[in-house]
Amino acid sequence: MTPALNHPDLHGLSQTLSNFTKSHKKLETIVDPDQGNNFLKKNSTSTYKYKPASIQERNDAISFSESKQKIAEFKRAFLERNDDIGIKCKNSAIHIYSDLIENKLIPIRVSIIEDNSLCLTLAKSNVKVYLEIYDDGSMGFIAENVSAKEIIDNRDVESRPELIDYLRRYLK
Amino acid sequence: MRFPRTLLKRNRTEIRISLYATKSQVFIRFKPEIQWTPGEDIPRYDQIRTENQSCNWDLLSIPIWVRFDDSKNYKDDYAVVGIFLAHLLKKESNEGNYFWKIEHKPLDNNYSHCDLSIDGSQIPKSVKRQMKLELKHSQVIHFKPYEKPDFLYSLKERFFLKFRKIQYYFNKSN
Repeated sequence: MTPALNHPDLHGLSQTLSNFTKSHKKLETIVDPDQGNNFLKKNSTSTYKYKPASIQERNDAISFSESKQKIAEFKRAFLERNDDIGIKCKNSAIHIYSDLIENKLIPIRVSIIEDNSLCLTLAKSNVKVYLEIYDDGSMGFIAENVSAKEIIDNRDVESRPELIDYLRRYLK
Repeated sequence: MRFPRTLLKRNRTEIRISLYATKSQVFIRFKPEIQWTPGEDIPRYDQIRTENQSCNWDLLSIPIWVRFDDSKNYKDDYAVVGIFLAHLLKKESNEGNYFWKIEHKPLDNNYSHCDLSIDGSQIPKSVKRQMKLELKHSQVIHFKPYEKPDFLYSLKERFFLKFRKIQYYFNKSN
């Protein structure tokens, strides 16, 4: 026991600390990367399952945290500051934005348009897609060929998976 | 640039635009960074309004005058875009016939001021998207932000303006 923790009032605390250190050491032993796989094989019923993360998994974890950051920025910049945008529109926008980020479809611009709606602009080489999220939570998009000045597609969409399908078609 | 006195409304009343041939143009200004981003198209799709889009009518204004604000200040950082009425008034949609409606709504310091809107109520959202993009595709850029007119520009444009007015009154009298 360390001298600083000799005070009677701190005796309980020091005991707890000591127990914690012991258990922590055990944990460290368990999660030793060299032994991790063997441990898992031997103790398949254990609640603590350790598996060293692959490079792919680590990259996924980083991109996941980046996407969470992007979504948080989007929330902060566009939805929390703008009281004019309706709740339905905000909810829709959050879900759609998350789906877009997950599918690596990053909007180049988010802007507030007339009727308190949102417009997300997505671009890939010669194609631009303007995705509009309306006050009532509904959505639609229009895609253009920029150099030919042609409308490629213009439709209202009912669901987010349907929307992502179309966007992937035009932007992948 | 000096504010042109011909833009003052004085006691003049509004003109019915439908009387005039659709060869005429309207001029719209777009503020850089907010309404227009360097390296991108002018105007930006998301900055086009389907209701009460302010513009100047070429029967009463030359393109560069759209850079004057309501307080007669000249804003040289605005882009100036022109749109031919013929492109706007004849657009038809797959979901029915919808048209841009242009109304002359003079302001005290801008007699040429007009409002551009899609005509009708309960306009489907897909139609609005289509008409906005078609409007974007039909534009002509007169001035990019900070672009200055050359020495003879005002003289030349004022001459064309006089010519358009004569043509208008000639058509009206017939």
